[in-house]
Amino acid sequence: MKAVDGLSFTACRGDVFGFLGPNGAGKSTTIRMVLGLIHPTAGRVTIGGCDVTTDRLRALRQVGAFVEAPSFYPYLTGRRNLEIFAWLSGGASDAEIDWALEMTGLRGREHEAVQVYSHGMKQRLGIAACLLPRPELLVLDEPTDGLDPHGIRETRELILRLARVEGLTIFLSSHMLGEVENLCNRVAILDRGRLVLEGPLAGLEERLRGTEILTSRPAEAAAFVRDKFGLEALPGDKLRVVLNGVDAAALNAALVQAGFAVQSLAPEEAWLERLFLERTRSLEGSSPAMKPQINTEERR
Amino acid sequence: MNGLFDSICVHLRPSAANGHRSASLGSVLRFEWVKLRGRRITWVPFLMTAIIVLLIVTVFHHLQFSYARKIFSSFQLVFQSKEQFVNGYYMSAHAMNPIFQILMPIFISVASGLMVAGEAEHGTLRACLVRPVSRGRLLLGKFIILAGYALALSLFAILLLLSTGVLNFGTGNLYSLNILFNNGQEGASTVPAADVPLRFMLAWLLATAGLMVLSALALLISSLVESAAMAYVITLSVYFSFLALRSFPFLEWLYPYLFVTHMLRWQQCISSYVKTDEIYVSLVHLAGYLIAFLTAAVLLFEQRDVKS
Repeated sequence: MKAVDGLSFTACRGDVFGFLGPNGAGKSTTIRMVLGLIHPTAGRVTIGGCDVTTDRLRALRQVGAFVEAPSFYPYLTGRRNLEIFAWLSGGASDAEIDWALEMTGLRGREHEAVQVYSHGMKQRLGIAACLLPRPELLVLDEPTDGLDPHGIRETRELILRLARVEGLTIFLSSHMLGEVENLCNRVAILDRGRLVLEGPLAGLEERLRGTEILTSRPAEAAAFVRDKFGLEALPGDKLRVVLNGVDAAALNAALVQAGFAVQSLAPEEAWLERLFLERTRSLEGSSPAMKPQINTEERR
Repeated sequence: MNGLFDSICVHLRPSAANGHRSASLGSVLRFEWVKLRGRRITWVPFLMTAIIVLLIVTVFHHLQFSYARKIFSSFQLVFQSKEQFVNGYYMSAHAMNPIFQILMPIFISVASGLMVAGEAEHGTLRACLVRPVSRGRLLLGKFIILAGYALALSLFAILLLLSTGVLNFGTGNLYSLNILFNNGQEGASTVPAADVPLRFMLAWLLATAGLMVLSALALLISSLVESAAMAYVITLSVYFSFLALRSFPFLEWLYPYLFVTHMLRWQQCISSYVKTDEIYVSLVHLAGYLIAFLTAAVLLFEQRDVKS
C-alpha cells in the first residue's frame, strides 16, 4: 500500500496554502516528506528551489514547521525551549525571541515550565518556535487541533497576521474546512494519498461554488434550469446549481417568469465541505445524512 | 519502506535561500547539554552511585571476611585479621566490579535510550529534524554528550569509592583474588601500595573507554527503535548476553571477538598480572568497535524515516 502517490502541487510566495484531507489521507506523511523526515521513493520536493532530499539543510533554512503536534522539553521553560530550538537553526537574538513571544501572546508566561502550559499555550509556543529565526515559510500541521473555540480564533488571527503583516508563506494542513476557507488563498485536497483537487480558492469558488435556490417546487425548478440553462442540480436535499457564467438575476427572472415562487437565490454556504465530501473517501461508509443526495420525491 | 511513499512532486517557493544558518556542532552540543542538565533523571545515577558506595562502606565495616581469609590462605597469603588486607584500595577494587560491570552500563543505556528513541517517542526528535541541522552532526553531538556523561559518572564513582574507602579503611597493598577480576590467571595477587593509585587510574581509563563503546552501541540501538524502554532493554540484553557468553569455558575461542572482553580489560590493572600487549590490543579493539558502532549509528540515522 502506498501512503502517497502521484502527488504534485506548488505553493508560491505569499500563499496561505490549505492542505486538506480526511484522517489517514496522507497529509502528515506528505508534510513529513516535505520536511525531509521521511524519504519518498520517487519524485522531488523543493523549497525555494532547494531539493529537500539532496539539499535538505539549505531547504530547511527557510522553514519553520511543526508536524502533528508541537513537542517541547516539559522540564524547561517556554523561553528556554525557544532558545535551544533556535540554536538548531543558527540561533535567535533575545529581541527575536521577544517578538515571537509577543506575536503568539505568550509574553508573561515564558518563564514557566512547559509542563504547566495548557494545550492552547503549547500550540502557540509551537508557532513561536516556528518563527525563530524568522522563516520564509511556515508549515503548520493542524495548528488548531484540540483547541477550544477561543484558541481556534486566536490561532486563526495569528496565522492571518503572520501572512498579511509579516508576509510569510504558510502551508497549513487541516481537516477543518471553515478554517481553510477563512485563511487560505489556495487549497489542495488529498484523498488516500492522491491529490483530488488543487487550485486557487477564488478560482475554485468561481468554478465550483453552487447557488442555492429556495423555491416552492425544487424538483420542477431543477428540471427547468437544466432545460433552459443547461445547469445540472447538485446532489443534496436542496436545489443548488453551479451558475457557470449564467447571470443570477437572469436565472431569477426566468424562474419567476416560469411561475416558480423564488424566495431566495444565494451563494451556497458550505461549498467547500460539499466538494470535500464529494471528492474524498469519507463519502464511502458515511451515514446517509452525510451523503450528498437530492430529495427525489421533492423533485418529482 | 520501499514503495510506501511514491511519486511526490512538491514545490514551495517562498523565496531564494536566505541567511538562516545550519546548526554547528557547538550549537548541537549546547542544545544536548541543556537538555541533559535540565532532566532530573540525569542526576539519579549520581545519587544511586553515592548510595551504593555508602552501602558498600557499611557492609565492609560489618563483614569479618573470614571466607576471603580462608581463600587467600590457600594461595599462601595468610592474614590474621581483616585489617591486614581489607583497606580502602581493597574495598574500591571489589566495588568497581559491580559498579562498572553492571550499574554503569544500566545508567548509560537508560541515558542513551532517552536521547534518541525517547525523543522520537515524545516527538521532540522530529521537532529537531525539521530544523537545518545535519542528522549526522546531531547524532555525533548526542554521542559526545553521552560520552561526557559516562566519563563524569565513572569519574564520580571512582573518586567517591577511593575517597570513602581510604577515609574509612586506610591504604596499603592491594590484595585480590584473580578469579574475581577475569585476568585468566589462578590464585591471588598483590599490588604494592605505592603502585595502586596508578593502577586505579589505568583501570578507570580503560573502564571508561569501555563505557564509551557501550555508549556508541546504545546510541546505535536507540537510533533504530521507537521507544526509550525498547532501546535500553535491547542494549542491556545485548550487553548482558555477551557478558554471559564469557561464563562458558567451551566458548573461550570466542572471547577475543566479544566487545565485552575488551570492555572488562580494566580488571587486569587491579591484579599483579598486567599484560600490556593485551591492554593495547583491547584498546585497539575498543577504538574499532566505537568507530564501527558510531558509523553504523550515523548511517542508519541518516536513512531513518521519522514517523513517530
